[in-house]
Parts: sequence; structure tokens; C-alpha cells
Amino acid sequence: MITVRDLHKSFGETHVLNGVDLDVEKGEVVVVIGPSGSGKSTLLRCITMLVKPDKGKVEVDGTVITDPKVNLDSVRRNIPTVFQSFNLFMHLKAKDNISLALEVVLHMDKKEREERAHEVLKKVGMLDKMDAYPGELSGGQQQRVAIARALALHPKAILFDEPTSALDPELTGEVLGVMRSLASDGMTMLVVSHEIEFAREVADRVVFMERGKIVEDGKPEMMFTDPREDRTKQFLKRFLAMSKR
Amino acid sequence: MSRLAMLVGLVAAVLIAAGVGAYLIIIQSPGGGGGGSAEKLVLGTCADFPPFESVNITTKKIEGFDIDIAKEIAAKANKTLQIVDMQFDGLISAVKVGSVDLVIAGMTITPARAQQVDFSDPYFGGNQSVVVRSDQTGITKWDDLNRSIKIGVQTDTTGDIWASNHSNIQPLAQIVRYPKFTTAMLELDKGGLDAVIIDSAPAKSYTSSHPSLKIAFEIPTKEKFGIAVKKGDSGLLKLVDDTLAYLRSSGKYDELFKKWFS
Amino acid sequence: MDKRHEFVGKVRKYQPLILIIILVLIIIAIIYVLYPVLTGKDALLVWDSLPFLLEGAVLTVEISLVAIMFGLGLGIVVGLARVSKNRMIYGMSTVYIEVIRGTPLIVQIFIWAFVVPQIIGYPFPSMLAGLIALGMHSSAYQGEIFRGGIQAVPTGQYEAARSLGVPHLPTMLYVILPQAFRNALPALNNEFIIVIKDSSLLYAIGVFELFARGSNLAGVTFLPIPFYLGVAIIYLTLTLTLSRSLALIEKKIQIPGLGVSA
Repeated sequence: MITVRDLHKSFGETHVLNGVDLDVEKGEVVVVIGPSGSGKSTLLRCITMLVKPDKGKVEVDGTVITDPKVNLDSVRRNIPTVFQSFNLFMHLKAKDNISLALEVVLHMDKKEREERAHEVLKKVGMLDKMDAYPGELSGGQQQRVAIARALALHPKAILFDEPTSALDPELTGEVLGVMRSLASDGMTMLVVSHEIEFAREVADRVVFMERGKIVEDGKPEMMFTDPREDRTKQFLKRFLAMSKR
Repeated sequence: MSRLAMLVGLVAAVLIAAGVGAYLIIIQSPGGGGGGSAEKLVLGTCADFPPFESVNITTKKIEGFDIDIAKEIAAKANKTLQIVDMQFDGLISAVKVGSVDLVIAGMTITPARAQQVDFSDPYFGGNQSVVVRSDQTGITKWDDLNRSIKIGVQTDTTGDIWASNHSNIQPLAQIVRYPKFTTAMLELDKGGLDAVIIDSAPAKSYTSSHPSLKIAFEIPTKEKFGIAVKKGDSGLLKLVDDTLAYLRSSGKYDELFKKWFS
Repeated sequence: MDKRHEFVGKVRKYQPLILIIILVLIIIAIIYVLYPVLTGKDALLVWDSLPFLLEGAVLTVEISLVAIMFGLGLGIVVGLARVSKNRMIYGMSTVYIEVIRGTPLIVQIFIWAFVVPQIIGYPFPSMLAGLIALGMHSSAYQGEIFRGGIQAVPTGQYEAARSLGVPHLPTMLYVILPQAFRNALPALNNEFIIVIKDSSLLYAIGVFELFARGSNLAGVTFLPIPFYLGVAIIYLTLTLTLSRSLALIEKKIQIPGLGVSA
């Protein structure tokens, strides 16, 4: 579904991505963990070409997206991103946040848009707030609307860039719940996150990234109980110790 | 895509509205329609110069000796007169570029000015006067202008030119230039200036209506006033000279003189 | 530290009272200054002049309206050009803004009134020159305001739209610009007021608007107090009215949860 080969990206002197290879199969839920600065977000942004990689190839559903001749807009609708800071359109109501892309990208007519918006808002549990403005919603509510916005496009996969990192702890549950439900519906998901519990329960694969490279890639049971690499062990030890505090 | 059309439409609508508004304002303003057109004669003047031109306090209209002459010229040309009141030092530029058709503003004919515009036959002769506050006793003659006193003039008038060139008057720093005479008079009255140099007729007019000021003495510069038109506008120039000749021969000139100068 | 807190607390508590006292003192001062003029022998003259001044105020409003609209239409284009990735478009708009912001408005007015007509060899009514100068001047500042409004929209908004597959142009039209307009409103409010005040500069080229009339009367009557203060009060009325009205509009279109209140 998504194929990344030998991806490199530098910002000035800093090498953020140092040759990344990754595969995400259809229906798979892949969770990427790692310390900050390891290049996790940059990896996601390169996959959607929000950031142009210096070297390497990205293929989405058969289309080589890194090819300059490709129309990016038509590919992006299949791999929308849910951002850490939600990025809802603040001047539009929740339901209009969703129907904007439906109108401009999928060219649905009014009736279809309304129906689809209702459908996805219901799925994330925000139907009663469809006329609310983002400024009136809590973080968790906004993120759920953001997920609905991505879902509405009938995408082939959804990318999540630390979706709960900006939320108060009490609110992460509602968002993770929605993500869990998407996973069980068979959605292909590539998630960058610190939520270990979520990864343990929902991920098909866990990928550990450090300093722009993928260090280890395996099933959650293996990764969390007995990883092969030392560095993975170190990271998990530090991370779990901190979160226990 | 409809939103793009909306944006373009908005910009276009605003600009068109601005254009229409501008057009409406311009045609109502003096000189609107690009200097004089077939029916208008646009006069440039500086209405701070009684009795030649000033604003009548009661009627709020600009009137004076020069204005009446302008009306005669307009009548002879079969056009309506429009008056543009601006600062004196902008008048020559204005007639040069054509924003006004002619200038009648108590303007002295000088060689320098004659290079920029064409002057009519002289229509008035006069001198300069030195105006001071009524309680001023130290300035009574020519030599008294020698000390470091502050003199006010109107920019680019013959008073200004004369003061700047005369050796009796100390460095230019003493001479304060104003776009309008009225400001200079106010300053003098207030005490910010010691003297103002202005043509004799307006000096008489100002001091008689403002007893706090008086004329110290006259400077016999023997100037002649002329009416200025754009260089090369021989048609209008002939019209002006013909009107002046008519006013003299018919006795109207004397009537106007009596009306404004006695 | 505690003493300071105490003091600040006291100031805050009495703040409304302090403001009222200051306001009353100012009103008393104005009345004291204006009273002799408004009731003395010149009172009739001053009150009689009011319609004359108000005519000028109407012209001021008309001029300001046209200049604001001109500035708005052109300003939107300039603002968009300033955020363009096209080097040529960005470059041209930057030069435009730098030149207009870097020269005094009065100089620009004179250039339009005297330089441009001479260059193109065709006369310009002063009103047209004034409107063009005022309008272009405002368009440069409004352009910068729109640019600021656009750049104040968080980049996340743009990224989110693009990552959903929305192309660049619709992203600008549906996501960025609507928010940018809202951001720009307070600054636009300020700019519109500035245009009203700047319109007074047109007196220098002979436009008979509010300040020109007030100044003229002040000079002729030697009564600066009622006329200059009066003109100031009229301008203040105009600017406050405009400002309050725009603030009301701002409030009306405010999105819940978005942006700061004025």
C-alpha cells in the first residue's frame, strides 16, 4: 500500500532522515515510536510530500508520488493526515470542515456531502456537535472531527502524526477509542505516537526509529517484551520508566 | 472555482465604484474635466490677499478686485468662472500643467516668472509695505530692518524675493516663509514675528480690519501686476488683454478701483 | 514587592474614577477656551460658518470614501502579490510598497498634481491628482495589512487542506483568505481612519475640503481658536463614527472561539 525506499532528508546541516525503508500493507496498522528528533514526523510529511525528500522513493497505492510529474493533489486524498495540532478550519463549523474537501476534492453534490458528513461524524461520536465551531470544542472533540474529516474522503490509508500528544490525558481516551474502531474496520493506518498501550493492543507492527533510521521493526509482543536491538531496549526502558512516574 | 470569480468580482466592483465616485467628485470640483473645457474658465488664485482676493466672512465666497476682473474675462469668453484657491507658490506650476487656465493673484511681473508663463499687460501698480504690531516703535524706516528681527513673507512672492536679495537684511535664517499670508499675519499678531512684508494694498486692508497691526513704512518697489497664462496660449492671452483694454476704455476699471481701494 | 502590588491594586480599583476625572477636566478646559469665542461678539460669525465647514466635511467624506475603495481594490491585489511565490510578482509589489511607504504623502500628492501632468503633457484637475495620490497611498498600506492577515493564518491550516488533496487555489480561497480577512479587520479600521485624516493634505493643491475651509476662515477672521479647534472636533466626529461602526461589524462577524476581541 505504502512503500518507502531509501528516504533521505536534511534541513540545512541536520540530517533528519538517513535512509529509511518502510512498507505498510493494506489493512495494516503500523505504529512508529522513537525519541523526539528521530525523524518520525518528517517521515510522514515526506510520504504526503508536504516536505520534499532529498533522495529516495515513495510509492502510494501503485503511484510513485516522488515523481515530479505526478499530480500530488489526486494522490493526497487517499492518504490524508491527522495532525498533532488538529488543524481544523477555524472559520467553518464542524460539518463544513468535512464537506469542504468533499465538495472541492470529490465533487459531491449537496445532498451527498450532507449524508457523508453525518455518517463520519456519527462514527466518531460528534454528530451532536456538527454545527459547532472548532473554537467551541475541546481538544479531544476537535481531533475526532479531524479524524472524521480525513475519513470522509474514503481514503486508502490515514496517517496520524502524534494525534494525542497535544491532548490532556483525560481526553486521549476518546481519540484512541475512535482510532481503535477504525483499525477494527480494517483501515490502513500509519501512526506516529507515544501511546504504548494503544500500540500494544491495536498495532500489527511496531517500528522503532532513532536518528533518522529505522532501528527495529516487528510485532508488538516481540518489540515490547523482548526486542532484539539494544537501542530499542534502552529507549523502552527510559520511556516506560518516565511514564510510570 | 466560483469563489475565485467572487474574489475577482469583488475587487472589480470596488475599483469600479471608486472610479464612479471619483468621476462624480471630480466633475463637481473646480477645474474638473481637465482644466477649462468648452464652458468653463478656471482661475487659479490665493485668497489671502484682500482686496485683490479673499474669502468674504459672511458669504463665504471668494471675492476681490482680481476676482471681478476674472469675471469680466469669463463673460467676454462666454464661459463660467471656476475658482481654485491654493497656495501662492503653486500657482505658476498649476497654470503650466494646465490645472488652471489663468492666474490672477496680485502677481508681480518679473523676468524670472515671465520665463515660465506669459503675462498680460500690467493691470495694477503698487509697492511693498512693512507691517508691524501697533505697539511696535522700533521699526520705522528702512535701516531698522538691519538688526536681527524676524521677518515673515509669503513664499515666492516679490516680498520674499526682495527680502532675500537685499543686503540690509541679515542672513536668510531671519526670513520665515509661509504658504499663505494669513498665517504670517497671525504669527505677527501673536508675537512670533517682528514684521511682515506684503504688498501695500493688502497691507492697508489687513491693518484697517485688524487694529492690532499697523503699517510701519512703504518700500517703493514700483511693481506691476500681471495676469498669467500658460506659455504659448496666445488665444487666451489676447482675450485677457482685450478685456483689460475694454475695462479701461469703458471706465469700468475706475469703478472697480473705487469699489475695492477706497 | 508587596508595596508595588498594593499600589497597582489601588490604581486598578480607582481606574474608572481616574478616567472620568481626567475626561471632565479636559471638557472643562475645552469649554473654558471656547466659551469667550462662542458667546462673545464673534460668536455669530463662528456659528454662521458652520454650514460652510460642514460642506467641506461632506467633501472630505466623499474623498475619503473613494480613496478607501480604491485602496481596498488595489490593496487586495497588492497583498496577494506580496505572498506570491512568483519572483516577478513579489518583486514588483515590494517595490511598489517600498516607494509609497518611503516617501511622504504630501510629496506624492504634489507629484501627481504637478509632475505627472507635465510628463504626460495632459492637464490634471487637482481633485483627480489628489484622489489618485490618496488612493495609491492607501493601497500600499492596505496591501501590507492583507499580507499580514494572510500570514497570520497558521501554516497548519494550509497544510491540513493540502494534505486532504485540496489544490493550492481553492485552499487560498476557501481556507486562507476568509481567515485572513478577519485578521485584517482591526488594522483596516485603523487605516480607514488614517485616510480620513490624510485627506486634509489635499488643501495644499487647492481642494476646498474641511481643513482648507477652516484654515481660510481662521486666517481671514484672525480667530484660530474656534476654527482650528472646531475643525478638529469635526474630524474627530468623523473618525470616531467610522471606527465605532467598523468595530460593531467586527463583532457581528466574529466566529465563536476564534481570534481576539478588539
